[in-house]
Amino acid sequence: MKRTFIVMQRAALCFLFTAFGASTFAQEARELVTNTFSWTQVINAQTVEIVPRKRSFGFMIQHRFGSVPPNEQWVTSFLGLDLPANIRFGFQYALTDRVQLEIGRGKYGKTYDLAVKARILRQTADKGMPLSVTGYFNVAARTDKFPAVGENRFFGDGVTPFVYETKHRFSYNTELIVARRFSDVFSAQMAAAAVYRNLAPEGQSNLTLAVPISGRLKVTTKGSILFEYTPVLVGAQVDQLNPVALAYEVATLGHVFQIIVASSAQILEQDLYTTPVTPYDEGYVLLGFNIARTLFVKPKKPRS
Amino acid sequence: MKLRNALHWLVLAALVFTVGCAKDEGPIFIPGPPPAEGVLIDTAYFNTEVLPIFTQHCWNCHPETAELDLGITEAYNNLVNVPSVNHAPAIRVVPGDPGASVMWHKVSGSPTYGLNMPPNGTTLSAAELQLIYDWINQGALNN
Repeated sequence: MKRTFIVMQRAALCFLFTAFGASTFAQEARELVTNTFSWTQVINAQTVEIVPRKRSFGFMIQHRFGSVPPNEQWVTSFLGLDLPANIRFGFQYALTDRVQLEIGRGKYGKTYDLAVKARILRQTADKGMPLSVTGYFNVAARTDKFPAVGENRFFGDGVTPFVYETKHRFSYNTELIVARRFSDVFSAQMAAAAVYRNLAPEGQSNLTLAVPISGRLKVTTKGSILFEYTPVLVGAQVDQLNPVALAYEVATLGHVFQIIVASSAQILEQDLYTTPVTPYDEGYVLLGFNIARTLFVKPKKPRS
Repeated sequence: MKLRNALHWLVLAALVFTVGCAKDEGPIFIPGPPPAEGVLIDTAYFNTEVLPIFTQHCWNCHPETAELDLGITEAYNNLVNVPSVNHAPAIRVVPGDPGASVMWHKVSGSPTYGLNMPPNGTTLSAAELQLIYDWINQGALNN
């Protein structure tokens, strides 16, 4: 399984970069559809978008409060704001008009993540290309202290005494994202996500496959309703509900603000798709917000 | 320009190829052989051994006014056979089954239920973890 995953991962990336190179020239002359989504992430899921201009920067704050049941705790915990929360800061840089790098730092596990995202195909205004396609790959590293390992703890083989190693800190997420802006008001996208954790808890799979489905419905010039639902096809825990999220977004050219109702405080895909979500079927939900800012840098003047 | 493109590909290649994969699972607890007849089991006591751990490591963030009160009067009632707020229907402490207890996952560093406790970068000592494990394993009694 490990070797298969590595081969799949590398083949996917080779395909991604080859397709990316070939498509660059084919689409230059056509009018491209822009603003399929306002930001690089729908709510938690990656979109087909990257920081919009070469050499520009993006900065984001993602915050999730605690989960609250449908009772008086909404008031006593002040909408969950009193409960333990999660937060992640992300910093993005557009290497080119089609490739973006990102580094992030999240609270859970003191996790650092490094990502690359590349536009492969872009939807065109004419009927030449009906879809936008983007590839995404990230590596995440937990940097919190390893806990003490008690007696009689073993690896999955039940024989080798368990010890934490550096490689256990790493996890990976590879995605191929396909999106279409159907009209000025409605965009939708679907992705295939493969999450791989070097260390899986007892009884869980190292590999998780999920299909994030998401969309945006613009309701005013700057306001949109966003939704996100992610069936976890492989690697889900028993009785694990699929992550779901709703948001209201206010977006301008350089700013995005989202207020969120979600099923999980997890932010990074490696955690979001592999850990149980709050039981929203019983009325538990949590609030959160995302803030993103794009810092545009003037293009260099061509040398005369 | 060629140099910059080469640098881009180098960064991407480094991302993909320099970080190794592993396929590990664990830690899995496999109990040792049961004590021979006549050998006394080292009983873990809630009030005199486990509760002081909560007072030392947890009470700052879980006082009487918190949603999860781990103070000396309510800690037991709030933990044993009580569904977790964030991870229901999972139970905070399942008597006799640490692996099914959300609290055990939280304090032992397991990523199953998100943020580990205590969240301030410190961890419980191996002896403290063993004590909590034994207490749950011995039936999570209010002893």
